[in-house]
Amino acid sequence: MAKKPKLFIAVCTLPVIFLTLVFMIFPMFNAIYLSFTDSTALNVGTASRFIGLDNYKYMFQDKSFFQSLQNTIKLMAVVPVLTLFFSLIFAFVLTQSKLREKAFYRTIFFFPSIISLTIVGIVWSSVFNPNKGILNHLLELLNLENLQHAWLGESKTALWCVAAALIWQAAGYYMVMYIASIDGISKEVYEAADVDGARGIQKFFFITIPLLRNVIGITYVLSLSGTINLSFTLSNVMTAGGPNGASSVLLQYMYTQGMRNANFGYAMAIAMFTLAAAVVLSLLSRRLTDRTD
Amino acid sequence: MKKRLFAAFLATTMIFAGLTGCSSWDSKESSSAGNSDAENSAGNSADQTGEGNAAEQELNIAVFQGGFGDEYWNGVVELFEQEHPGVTVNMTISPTVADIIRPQIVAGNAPDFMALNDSSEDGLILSLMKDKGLMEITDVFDGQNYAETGILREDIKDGLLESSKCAPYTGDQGIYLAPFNTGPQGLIYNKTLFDEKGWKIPATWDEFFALGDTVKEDGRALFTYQGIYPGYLEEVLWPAIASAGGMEAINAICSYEEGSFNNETVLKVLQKIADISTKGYLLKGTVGMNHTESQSEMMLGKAVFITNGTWMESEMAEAPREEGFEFAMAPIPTFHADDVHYVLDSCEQFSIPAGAKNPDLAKEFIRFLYSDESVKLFAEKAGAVYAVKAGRELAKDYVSESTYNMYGIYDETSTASLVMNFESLPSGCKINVSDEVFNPITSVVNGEMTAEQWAESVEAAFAQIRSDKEAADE
Repeated sequence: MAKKPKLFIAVCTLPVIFLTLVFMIFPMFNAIYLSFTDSTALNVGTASRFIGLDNYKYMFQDKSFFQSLQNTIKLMAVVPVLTLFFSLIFAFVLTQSKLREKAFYRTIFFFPSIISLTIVGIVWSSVFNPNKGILNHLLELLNLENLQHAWLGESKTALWCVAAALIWQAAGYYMVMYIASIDGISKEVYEAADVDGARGIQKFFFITIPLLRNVIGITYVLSLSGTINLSFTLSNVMTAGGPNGASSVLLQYMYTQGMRNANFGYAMAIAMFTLAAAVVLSLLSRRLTDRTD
Repeated sequence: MKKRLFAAFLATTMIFAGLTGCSSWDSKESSSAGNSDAENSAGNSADQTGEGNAAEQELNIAVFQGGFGDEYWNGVVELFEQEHPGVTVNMTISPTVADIIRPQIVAGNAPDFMALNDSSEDGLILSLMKDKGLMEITDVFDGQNYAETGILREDIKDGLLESSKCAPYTGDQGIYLAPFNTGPQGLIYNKTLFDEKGWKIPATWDEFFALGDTVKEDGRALFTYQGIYPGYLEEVLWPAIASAGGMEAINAICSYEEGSFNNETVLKVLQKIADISTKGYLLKGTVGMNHTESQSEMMLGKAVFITNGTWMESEMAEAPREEGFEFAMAPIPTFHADDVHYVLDSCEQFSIPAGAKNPDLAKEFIRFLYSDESVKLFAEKAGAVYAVKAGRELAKDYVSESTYNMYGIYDETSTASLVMNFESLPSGCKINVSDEVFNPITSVVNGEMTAEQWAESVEAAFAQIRSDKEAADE
């Protein structure tokens, strides 16, 4: 039986190739094509004209586009780093400490990842509600009334409220990945460190982080792309991009242009830009984190 | 080996069969998302054979289910079917009806009739207008009314059919959208409270802010609005501009004229709106609230006024309120005591897509909607008034007293109805006018933007629209 069942393999992969072509490759090339047309949501593929780079030219003069680009960049700079930071801490504490209720915490921390994102958005909207929200009430209890805000209604705070929800819902997910990898680190390493008198923090910085370097690199890229995608849902639910565009993100602006304003071609141009940016960023961050020795 | 190959082949064909199944499935789906229309499948087969047989027809309608509920629509469809034997109406009614019918329109499977607003969040009607995707229905209004007692045009409330609400294209008086309901929008207040305290309805902005100081002593804020939906402030902005600058000012804005928004008159109005917040008359936390939250706060007496329309009474039927709360509506203040108080008229619309399969029956349906029985049914089931001249009187026996009184706002001296609609945008335009006009309000209210900057940003958007228009005309 040394002969490889080539035909069998070919037949088995056919459906997958077909599905990928129909649902991934073809739509992607179609989107690239549409980004050079003035297609509206209603005349897709029929009456749209080829207009060359006009959509891209408009994009680089469009202040709403720049605002959402800026917001997306802010989120990408802050959210992955904080998310992974919390995930690492949680994972380390849950694996290294001798807490009895470990399993309970693990469930609690992972829980947000299995809740629908829309619900996460609604829950956090009520946390930030100016009159009934728990956050303002807590501040009142602590006599910190001057720190109270109409969180989702002020342009200085709205985007960071979305960021908080993003971090909260993703931290547990990456925590589970880290727990798995930490469990893969040989116990002897930690025991040797104990013998040498290393404290918890030292073990974290000198053993856990260096040994998880590769995993951290991968999760960072995952978290970057997660931020681009998920911020759309959360910002849509929590603030609808408001106030005055202060929390709008790229994919949301794409949706607004494509669906509400019926500029499908333009929306595809924004999508192409986002895609290119995401690819470049993940390549970059992979190269940076990959340089192990 | 042969056997395994055969199994794999079978599996592949099954997947393909599933896929082809998908593609034919959505065309049959056209109207099932709505209510319990069991006649659906029967209706579809009638479609193929219906040609030439006028008695056996079907009408596919798509209805936005908003604050008025679905009872009226279920009722009126039943009435229409009773009066037109052989006609089957397939109704899709949903709060997200635009998302349901958009792909159908794209696939060339448009409904025959739509009850959907041009101002709705989804933007479907605006897109159709930009794409010239609506059918002209002027002939419906130039024809007989349903009772055959006169021309339908004469039954409709004055001023609506000529306005850009119904005739959206410049240089084309053709009617593309039929007016549905009508109702004044203004400042909602608690009549009981005003009577008890002996407060007077402020006629001018000075009186408005003076009242603000009085109510502050009573522990209340003067004003709140629907926070994260600043678009509700159109009910203040447009009437205030009309009162200060006349209809010319409004018409100039509607056609995006240069300098129509950044001028002395408009700036004066924008400044008043900014003052409400910067001078401390706005309910704290307003910018972070949604419509139900701010409306509840107002009904609990935290704020004295809120912008809204007559639907608020039914929308908030379940909400807790101050004791003895009675809905009443005041017009927007003006600069001088003798200025005309304009009241923004809300007007939702019906339309027929250009790709409708049965436009004649759809037109008949529109005629029927304006009949007395339909108008009465609407008042009874939805507590609101059709945009016909006899609307308010026909509704009198069915709507609550306070709603009836709110509709009477026009009877007060020196008030006038204002219908406000922007001209249809040129195709390919990437601006959303209402976003550009109203979204900055939150920044202005938060003190992050001045009234002048607001006016400048709107002017910039208007300039972009004008240049898009030139490009489209080329």
